[in-house]
Amino acid sequence: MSVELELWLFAVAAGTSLLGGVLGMASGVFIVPVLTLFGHLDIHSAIGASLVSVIACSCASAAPFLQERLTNIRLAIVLETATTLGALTGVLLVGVVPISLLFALFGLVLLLAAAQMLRVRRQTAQPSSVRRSSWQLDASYPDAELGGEVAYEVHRLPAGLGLMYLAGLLSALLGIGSGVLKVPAMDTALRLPIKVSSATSNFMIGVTAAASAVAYFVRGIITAPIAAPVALGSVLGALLGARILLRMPTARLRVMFVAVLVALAIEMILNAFGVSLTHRTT
Amino acid sequence: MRVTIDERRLEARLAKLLWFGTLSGCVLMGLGWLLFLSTHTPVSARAAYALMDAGVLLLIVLPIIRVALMLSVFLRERDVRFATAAAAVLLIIALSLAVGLWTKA
Repeated sequence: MSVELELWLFAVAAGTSLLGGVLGMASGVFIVPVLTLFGHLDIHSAIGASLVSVIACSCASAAPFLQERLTNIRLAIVLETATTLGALTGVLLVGVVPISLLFALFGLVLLLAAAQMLRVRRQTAQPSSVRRSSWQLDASYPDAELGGEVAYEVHRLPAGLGLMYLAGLLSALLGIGSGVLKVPAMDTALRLPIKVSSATSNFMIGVTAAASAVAYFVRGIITAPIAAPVALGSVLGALLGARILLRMPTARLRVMFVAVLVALAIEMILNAFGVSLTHRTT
Repeated sequence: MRVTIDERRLEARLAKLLWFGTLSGCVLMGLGWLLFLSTHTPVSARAAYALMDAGVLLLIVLPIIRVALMLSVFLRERDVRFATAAAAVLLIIALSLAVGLWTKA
């Protein structure tokens, strides 16, 4: 592995993670497409490296959320039974799923992420008519803008668990954090306040990715000289991105991001059918 | 709803564990990576790999330790439901590890 490739991996991871941080979006979804399409790495090594960086980013950013009491840790552990079960299914499937299908699936996830970026995340009203679960998951969090504690209820747990299972499955197959599925699960099914939803979903991503990463690690799919620069770059970018929080017009940046997502999606899907615009040398 | 003092303490412990764990993992990986970039001998290359692998492994194990810590606190509180959920998560991860070992090339 050349020094140039090493530095390129670090720079790409740091750059996408920084941009993602500014837009409040997880950038894990970029790593595998960029590494395979432009770095011409084998998709399985790319997925392994991406999983390590997803874990690192989740753990690195968990502390402030926990200290501000935004993370619902009881809800997290219940939902994690579903995400890790999904990850286990993914680990069982990964040898069976053909590589072209992985590319196609990734293309679809990128398109979903693009669609989600265009939609403004709105707070779903909390109806009081829905039957509450008996799991004692309801809680409250301090909200500086609204002033004081905001109490909330957790709704439709079974629907949330189902979506979380799928999120875990995608995470293991594609090496992503699966924000694409976790956001609708948290916002629409469980109807959590956005801040609680972001904090809790970030908290869960680490365990979900670890559930498949243990299997990848012992199989020898995680290559240290690829995983280390990618994880280091991502963590650095994420921490800087959260701190800088540029006062720039994010609307244009958002449109640019969507365009990149769509372009990567098209290229991933073309790759699935054996067509490549970023001509593979191997 | 129950935000007890214990709950606050658990959140603080989890925050500290995750922050210092990530930091240690990244320092190990970073040292290994720098050594890897500057290395020219087989011996130092092996050391670089060992450091990077240790960092990667620490990061992977960190969220699992986090679940184990939650399990021990729920058990002490005799909170059967959440202890069961935490134990189930650990069991599933153990199964995944077993699958990984089983299908190892």
